[in-house]
Amino acid sequence: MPQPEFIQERLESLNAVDNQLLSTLLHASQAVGTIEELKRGNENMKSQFENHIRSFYGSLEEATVALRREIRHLDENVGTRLLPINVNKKAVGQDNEKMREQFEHLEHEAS
Amino acid sequence: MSNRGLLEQLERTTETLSHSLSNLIKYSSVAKERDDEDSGEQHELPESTAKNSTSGLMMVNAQTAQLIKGIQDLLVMTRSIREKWLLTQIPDEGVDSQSELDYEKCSQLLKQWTQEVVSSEE
Repeated sequence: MPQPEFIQERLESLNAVDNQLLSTLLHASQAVGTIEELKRGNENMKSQFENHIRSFYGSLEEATVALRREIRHLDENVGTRLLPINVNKKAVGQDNEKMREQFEHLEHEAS
Repeated sequence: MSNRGLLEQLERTTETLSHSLSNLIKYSSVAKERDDEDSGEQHELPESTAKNSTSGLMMVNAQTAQLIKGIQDLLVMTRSIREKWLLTQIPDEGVDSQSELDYEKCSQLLKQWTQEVVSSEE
């Protein structure tokens, strides 16, 4: 089902946040991998370790900031684009569709 | 408001995440250093060495689990935000009013039909 542009945008940026979170985890695992090498006395892994740690914190920060922005968007749109939470949405407009269908049927029969 | 809760959860999770990696590295070095000291001094491996390395290992495991759990929590959060966008959105006005019913034509049709039905019964 195609979504309105704004919501599509939000969904895409949430996807980007997901990717960032995953890359955070990846950087963490790389950092742990390099510290293992460092323990073995491999001194030239030091700069790599530093890079991985830096990118871990970098991507964590980016993901957090983006997520915070998303929550703010959510906050701003409750009431305009979104129903307040805990309201069950009914299938609005269904009765109109049905009525339209019935009248079309009637018209078809009458002619 | 539940969004306040989301923000707080985000803050808490981020803090745990940033701590858990540094803790992970700290504990891994503690375990290793003690390991080195002990194995350098005495080779018979006293009970304390086993204890230290075991607790170090456990801490490392716990911190790793915390790291993964935190990321999972944040992923669940993005998912719930997505669900909110999709499931509680108010439908656009424009879509609903695509083709307004022609009420006069409808009433005319209804009259015609009632006449036909009633007259056929008589």
